[in-house]
Amino acid sequence: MRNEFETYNPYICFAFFIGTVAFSMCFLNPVFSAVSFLFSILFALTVKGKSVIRFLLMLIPLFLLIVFLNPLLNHYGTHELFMLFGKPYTLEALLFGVNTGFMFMSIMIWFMSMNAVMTTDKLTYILGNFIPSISLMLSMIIRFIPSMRKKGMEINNARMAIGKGVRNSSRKEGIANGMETLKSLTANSLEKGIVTADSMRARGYGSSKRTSFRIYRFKRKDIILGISFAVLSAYTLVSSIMGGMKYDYNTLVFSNTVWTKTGFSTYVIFLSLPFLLNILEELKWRSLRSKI
Amino acid sequence: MAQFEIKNLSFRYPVSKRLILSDVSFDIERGEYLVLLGKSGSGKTTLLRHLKPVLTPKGERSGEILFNGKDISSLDLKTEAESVGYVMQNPDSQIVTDKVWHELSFGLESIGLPQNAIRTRVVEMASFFGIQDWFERDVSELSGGQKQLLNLASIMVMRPEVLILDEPTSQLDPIAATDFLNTVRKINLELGTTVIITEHRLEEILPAADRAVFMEDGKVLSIDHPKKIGEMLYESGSDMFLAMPCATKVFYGTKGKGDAPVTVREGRAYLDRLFSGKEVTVKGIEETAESEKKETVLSLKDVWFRYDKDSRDILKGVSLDLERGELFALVGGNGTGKSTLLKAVGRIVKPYRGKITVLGKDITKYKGGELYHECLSILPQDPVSVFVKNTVLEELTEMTDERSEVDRIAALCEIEGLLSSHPLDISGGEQERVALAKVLLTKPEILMLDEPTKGLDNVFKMKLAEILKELMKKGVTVIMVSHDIEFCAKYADRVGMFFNGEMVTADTPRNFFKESSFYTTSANRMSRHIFTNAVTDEDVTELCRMNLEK
Repeated sequence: MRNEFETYNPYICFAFFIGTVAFSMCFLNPVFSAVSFLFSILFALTVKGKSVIRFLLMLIPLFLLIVFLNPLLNHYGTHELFMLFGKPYTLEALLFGVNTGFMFMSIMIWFMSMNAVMTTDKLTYILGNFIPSISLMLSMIIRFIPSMRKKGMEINNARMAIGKGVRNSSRKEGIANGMETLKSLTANSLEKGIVTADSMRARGYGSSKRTSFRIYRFKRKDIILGISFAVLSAYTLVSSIMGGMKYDYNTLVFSNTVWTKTGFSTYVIFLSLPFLLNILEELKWRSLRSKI
Repeated sequence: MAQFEIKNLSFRYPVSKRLILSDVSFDIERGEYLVLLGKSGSGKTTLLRHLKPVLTPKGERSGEILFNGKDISSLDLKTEAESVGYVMQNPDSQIVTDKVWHELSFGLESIGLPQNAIRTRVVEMASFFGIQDWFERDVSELSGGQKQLLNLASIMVMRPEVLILDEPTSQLDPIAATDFLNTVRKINLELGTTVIITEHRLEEILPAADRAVFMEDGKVLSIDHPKKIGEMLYESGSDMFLAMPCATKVFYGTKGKGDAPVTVREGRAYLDRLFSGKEVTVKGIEETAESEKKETVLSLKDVWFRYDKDSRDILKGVSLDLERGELFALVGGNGTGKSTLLKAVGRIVKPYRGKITVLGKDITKYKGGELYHECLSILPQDPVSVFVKNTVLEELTEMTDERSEVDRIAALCEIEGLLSSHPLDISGGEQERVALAKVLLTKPEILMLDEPTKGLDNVFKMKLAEILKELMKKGVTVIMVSHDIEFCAKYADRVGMFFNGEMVTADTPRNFFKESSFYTTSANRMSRHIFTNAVTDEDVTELCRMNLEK
C-alpha cells in the first residue's frame, strides 16, 4: 500500500494524530466516537494491513467489558433495564459505556497507526528543530539500547559456552553468573563508549555551534494539507463549543442544529483525509502500472 | 613543503619509563599512500594518533610535528576535523547515530555547516561510495563491512586532506576488506587524499603503497619503496617478514635478486621466469596417507535450524563427523551460518531437526552444565565477551580452584606476564590468549573457535597455532570457523566449505584448495599453473627448491 500520508512533513502528520486523539478524548457524542473508530480502522488498514484485524480481535473483549461494566458503576438515567445488586442497570449508562468503549478502541488504533507512521527519525526531526542536541542525543539513545541488548546476549552465550551460564547452574550460581554478565556488559559498553567519543571528537564534535541536518522539508503539499487540517479542526472545535455535539445521555436526545450537521461533516473530512490520500495514491499507481 | 614533517618525536606515558616512540623523524608528502608496518606494540598506533591532535594520548612528548608548515597542535578543532580524518578498527563502535543519513551528516553538523552545504556534500559522497540505496536505513541493519564503509564515507564527507586508517579491516571478512581497501585506493588516486594506513594484511595494501615505513620498539628502522622493504626485512631475519605478501616471501625464499614481486600476478610472472626453459619434474607435494581411523568425537546428522518459525532456515541439513585430535577448519562466505553451526553444537541454539552426538552421547541427554565441563567449549568471536573480573589471574581462578592447573595453562598460552593486568587493558592478541586459557580450563575434549585469528598479527597467529598443536597432541579435537584461508591452509587437517546452510565439501587443505581457483590461498593462485597442490608459500618455495636443485 503506498503510504502517501507518510511522505508529508512530520509536523503535519504529528499534528493530525494529536488532533484525532484529542478530539476522540473530548467528544462524548457516540456518533462522533463511532466515526472516529471507523476511520481509525480504515486508516490503520492502509498503513498496517491485516495485523489490524488481529489487534482488533484482542480489543473486542476489552470493549465488551467496558460496555457492560459501566452501568454497574454508574446509575444515572431514567430508562431502567433491570435491577442488579440492588441498583438500577440503566440504558443511558450502557450507551455511555458504548461510547467510552469506542473512544478507547479508536485511540488505541490511532496510536497504532501513529507508531507505524512516525518513525524515530521523524520524531527526532520534530524535536531537533527546537534543540539540535536533543535530536543527536535521541539518535544515540535509540542506537545504544538495542546494541547493548545484542551485546548482552552475546556475552550471555559466551559465558554459557564456557560453563558459566545462567540457565545451567544452580540457583545461587545462576544469580552470581547473571551479575557477572551485567558487570561485563557495563565494562564493555564503557570501553566502546570511549571509541565512540574519539570518533565524535575526530569529526569535530564541539568545535562550533551545532546545526541540524533536516532531511524533511516543507513542500507545497504540506502547506495545503496543513491549512486544510487547521481549518477543519478549527471549525469542528467551534461547532462543539456552540453546542453542536451535545448528546444528552439522560434523555437520549441528539442535538440537531446547523452546527451539528456542519461540525459533523468537517470532522468526518478531517478524519478521512489521510485515509483518502493513501487510497487515492494506491489507485493511481495501480492504474499507472496496468498501462506498462 | 611536505604535508607532515615529523622531527625527533619521542613519547612516553606519564607513569612509565618506556619510550613508546623513540626519536621518530620522517616526512609525509601530499597525496602519498604510506604504509606503516610493525608488530603489535611497535608504536604504530601511537604514532598515528600523534598525527591527529584530538586523539593524541597525554604524556611526555618531545620533538615536533608540522602540518603544512605549522605546528600541528596549533590547529583549532574545526580546521583539524576538516583536514585530518581518522578511521579506527572497530566498525560498530565508531558509529554515533542510528540512521545512515544522520551518520553521514554528523561531522558536518558538528562543524556548523548550513543545511544546503550539508545536503550537497552528503548526497555527493553517498553517490561516490555507491551507498545511495542505504540512505534511509537503520545502522543496525548494516553488516560489518558496510559499517566500516559508512565510517569512511562520514569522514570523507568532511573533505579531509589526510586520511589516517588504523587497522581498518582487521574486524572484516576478506571480501569486505578488499572492497574497503579498494575504496581507500580509489580515494587516494581520484581525490588525491594522502593515505596513511597500518594493517596486518599487507597483501592488499603493499601494491597500492608509495612507501612503507617499518617500525620496531618505537623506532623507525626503515623507510623504503614496498618492493624493497621486503629485502631489508628478510636480511634482518625479522618476524615482520612473515607479514609480507606470498609472492615476496617466495621471491626471497628462492634467493631472488632485484625488485620483489608483491602481487599474485607479479608472483606468477616471477615463477615463469624462474622456470623458463626448464622442465618441472616435481609437480606436487606428496601427502602421507591417513594413519589409522580415530574415534569420532562429534557427529552431526542432517541438522536443520532457523531462528523463528517464519524466518528462513540457517542450517539446512548439515552433516559432519569429527575425529579425535584433528583440526577442522570451516570456511565460507559471510552470513552462511558457520557461527550458527557452532552455536548449535554448543547447545546455545536448538535445531528443530537432526541429531548431534557429542562424545558418543546424544546432545539432548546432557544435563545442566555437564556439556561444558570436560566436554566442549566455545571461544567466541569477541574474546572480551568471557571476561568478568578485574585481573587476568582472577579470570583464570574463576574457572578452577587448582592453582597448578592455572599455572600450567598460563604457561601453555604464554600469559604468565599478564596475570596482574586488567583484561581490558591488554592488546587484542593477548586478550585472545587469555580467553583461550579460560576456555582451556574447562578441560574440553572438543574445542570450538569462532574466528580466532581476527585482528591478530602473524607472530600471534603462529603462537596460537603452536598452542593448538600442543592440544591436539593430547587428544583435543579443534573445530575452527575462519575467514583466514592462509591460516587454515597452513594448520588445518581438514577444511570444509560451508555454503547456503550446508557443508559442501570437506578435505585436506591441499586437496580442498587445489580444486578452487578463487577461494584459495595466494600461494595456490600464484603457482597453480606450475604446481598442482601448493597451498602455502613454504610449499611453493620447497617445490621450487626441489625442482631447481635437480
